Amino acid sequence: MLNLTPQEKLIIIFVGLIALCGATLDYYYKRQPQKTEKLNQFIEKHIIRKGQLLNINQATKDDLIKISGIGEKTAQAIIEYRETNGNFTSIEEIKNIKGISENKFEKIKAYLIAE
Amino acid sequence: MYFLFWLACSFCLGVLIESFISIPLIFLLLLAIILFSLSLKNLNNKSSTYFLLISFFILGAVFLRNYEKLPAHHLTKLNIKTTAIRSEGKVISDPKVNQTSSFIFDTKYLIFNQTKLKVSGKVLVKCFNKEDFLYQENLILEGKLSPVFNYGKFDYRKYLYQQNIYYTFNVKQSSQIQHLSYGNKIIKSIFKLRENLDTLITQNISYPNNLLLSAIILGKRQNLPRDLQDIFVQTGTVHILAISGLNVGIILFIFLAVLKILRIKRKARYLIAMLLFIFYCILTGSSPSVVRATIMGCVFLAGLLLERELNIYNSLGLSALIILFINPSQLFDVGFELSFICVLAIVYLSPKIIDFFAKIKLEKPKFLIQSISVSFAAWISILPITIYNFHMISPVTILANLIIVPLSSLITAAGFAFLIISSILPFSTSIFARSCEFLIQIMVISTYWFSKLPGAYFRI
Repeated sequence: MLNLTPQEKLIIIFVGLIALCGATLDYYYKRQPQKTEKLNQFIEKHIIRKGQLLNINQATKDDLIKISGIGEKTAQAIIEYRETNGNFTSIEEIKNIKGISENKFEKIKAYLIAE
Repeated sequence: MYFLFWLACSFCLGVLIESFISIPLIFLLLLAIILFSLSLKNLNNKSSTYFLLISFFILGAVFLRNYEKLPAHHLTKLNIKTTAIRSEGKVISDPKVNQTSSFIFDTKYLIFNQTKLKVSGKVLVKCFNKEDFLYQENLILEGKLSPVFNYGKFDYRKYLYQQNIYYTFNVKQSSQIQHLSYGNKIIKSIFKLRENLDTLITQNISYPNNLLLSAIILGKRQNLPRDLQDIFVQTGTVHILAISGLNVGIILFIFLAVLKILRIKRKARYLIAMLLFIFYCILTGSSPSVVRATIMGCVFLAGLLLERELNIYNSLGLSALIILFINPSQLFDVGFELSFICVLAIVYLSPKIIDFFAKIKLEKPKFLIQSISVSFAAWISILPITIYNFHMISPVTILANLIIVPLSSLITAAGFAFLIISSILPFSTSIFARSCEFLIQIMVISTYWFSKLPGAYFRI
């Protein structure tokens, strides 16, 4: 009745397994919507560090570069400023640094905190 | 036995030697002509093989010399005094579109008030406005031409010089860009398809998993968050984010299997698979790594098509020769070195490691021993390159590859199933998207754990 070659069987098994896995997950996600985000939350919290604020008084150069909008030069300038003028009292203070314009500040301020 | 392999080796050696010392061209030519004619004399003779090898060595040297010599109307020869120029040309790389867009631009003409001056040369265009550019599109750009500067640790200038790019071209405003007719209709429709597939992925799979899937399947790497890329770099598994030989292998298997199900004859199948390969290469933006993998795949398929038993060494040799014929300076490209050395190590070194394990009475479980040997061979062979270029040693790679590589193969296959099936049966989209998403999440989280293991990687 079923004349399938091994290769065809392999593909059907694979697609079937994927569909089964997907359907089960879909069912599970519908039943417990609050748990669906767990894995993504983990990724965002630990790996992408989205929404996590960086303390500019303690951040290293490597930390600073990870923020989009801060390059190697700006990061170096921030560290140098901190070393010569002491800790930042507010994040607005980084506008004093050469190379951080009002525009750039608007872009990066969401990621920074001064403590 | 391994004739093509040795030819490729001597060709590489020629390119390498030429890059250090330049031998007088006339001497090389005379020697090559003598050697070629000597090898013609006794075609059955063993000595003619050696003559042929040496002539390929010279061929390599001459090819590199020719590649590095720029034509008379090249930009560098023009002694451009005013740096603000207007130029007509073609986009020849997959444009990266972010806050700033960038792409490689092949200049054809410089445009002054009334006259057009024919030029040639590739420049790296940076555009500071959000503007859509398409691969293979003809444009007129107005902006500032400047030499390449180095910034950061990475030797950017050398990297661009290897691709024969000597200038960057900054375009500040959208008004300075003029879109001309689109070059090739077929390529345009392929790129439209790519955009549609990308939207399908973005709409159905959550952030940041969608970005990883587009990187693995469609070759769209530019939007990946840096932190996410970092964990793959640290564990030495970043190769799975680029479309490489492994992905192409899986895709070849899928193509051949589908074509077989459609009951297409064997030889026609190989031919269609080859065309599909080229189609896929364009679809993913023909980055150097995809082009390499496509050439290797086509060589493999051509071997099957012509029923010539090409062993793996000869296939590799032929692929390397084709790639280096097109661009000899690829020999100094890290990606080129990594992919060829890796495959050689897996073919040559890993059986020896398995033998070693057998000697110390470690044969079971067979599958695990094999995987570890392959992973170890690949890691140890590219260790010098990774230390030299990336200043990093990551022993965790041997372990990480055992989990991440099978997972990424699974993701490639599942991703293809997702894209194909949901284009045909839209109602099943969410089901297949869920399993892709889940697999990617597992991969990301396990990579994260690997990067957090004690002694996972050291920076030098």
